Amino acid sequence: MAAGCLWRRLWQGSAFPVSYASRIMHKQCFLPNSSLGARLAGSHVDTQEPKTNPLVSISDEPEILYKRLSLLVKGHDKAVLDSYEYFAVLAAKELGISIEKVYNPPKTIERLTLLKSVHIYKKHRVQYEMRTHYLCLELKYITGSTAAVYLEYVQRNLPEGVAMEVKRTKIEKVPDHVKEPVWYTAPQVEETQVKS
Amino acid sequence: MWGCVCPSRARSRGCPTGNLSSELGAAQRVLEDAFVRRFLRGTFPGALLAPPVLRRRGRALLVSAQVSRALPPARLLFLQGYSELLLSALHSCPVRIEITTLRAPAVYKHL
Repeated sequence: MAAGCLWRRLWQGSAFPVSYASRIMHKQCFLPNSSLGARLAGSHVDTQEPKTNPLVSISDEPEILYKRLSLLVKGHDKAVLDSYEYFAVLAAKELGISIEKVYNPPKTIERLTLLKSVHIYKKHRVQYEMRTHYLCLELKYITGSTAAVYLEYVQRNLPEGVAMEVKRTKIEKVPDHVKEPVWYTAPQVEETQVKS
Repeated sequence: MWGCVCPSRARSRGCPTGNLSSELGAAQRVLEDAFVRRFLRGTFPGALLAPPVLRRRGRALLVSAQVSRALPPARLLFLQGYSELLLSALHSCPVRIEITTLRAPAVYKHL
C-alpha cells in the first residue's frame, strides 16, 4: 500500500524519535484505502528528510529541574479566585503536574480614614478599605519546559484585576569543590613554618 | 542539593493591578482610565449611552462601549479603528474597543 511505503521511508530516514507528522501519517493508514491510495499514487514525497513539527524544539541543553513552583495569586474578589483555583488545578492535573498543596493565606485589608467634608468638620470622617485575597498554589518536582508551558497557559488566562507572583526553587548539582572537606585534600603545611 | 529561590513577578510588564497590596502603578492606571474615558466621550459625541467599561488583560486594555444607533456603521467603524490606533500609540499598550449598538441605554435596575 502506498501509505505504508511512505511510512516506512519516513521511519528509515529519521534519526529522531517518532515525530508528530509521522504519528499523523501512521493514523492515516487506517482510513479507507481507496481514496487515500488514489490520492497518494499521484503525489511525490519530495524529501527523504524527517518532517519535524516547527512547534516542537529539541535542544541539547540539560533541563532545569524545579523542586517547587509557588504561585501566589492576588485579587479583590474571592469568588474570582475560587474559580481561578478550579481552573489552575484542572490544568495542572491534565498536564500531569503533581500539586503539593493549595491554600488560602489570610486576606490583608488596607484602610484609609479621610475627612468626610471638603472644609472643616474634623469629627466626621469616612473610611475606605481595600481587601486583597490570596490563593497559593504549590507544584512540586516540575521540569523547566513543563513549567514554561503551564505558566504561559495559566498566565494568559489570568482574569482582569488579578495579579500573580511566581517563586521557583531550582535543584542544582552539588559543586565538586564542596563534596569533600578541604582539610582532606589540601597539601600538609610544614611544622617549621608554624613555629616562626 | 542546593536550592535557589528565584522570585519573579509574573504579572509584570505593565499589567495594572495597582490597588492590590504590594502592587505598583495605581495612580498611572487612574490617569490612563480617565484619559480614555474623556477621549471616548469626545470621539462619540452624544452617542455614548453609558460610561465605558475598562478592563485590563495582561498588557492590553479592553474597552466595552455602548453606542446609540444614530451614527452610520461606516463612520462607527472608522471611529473605532481611529481611537484604537491613537490610544495604543499614546499609552504604548494594545487597546481594543468593543462597540455594542443599542437603540436606548440598557436598564439594569428598575426602582
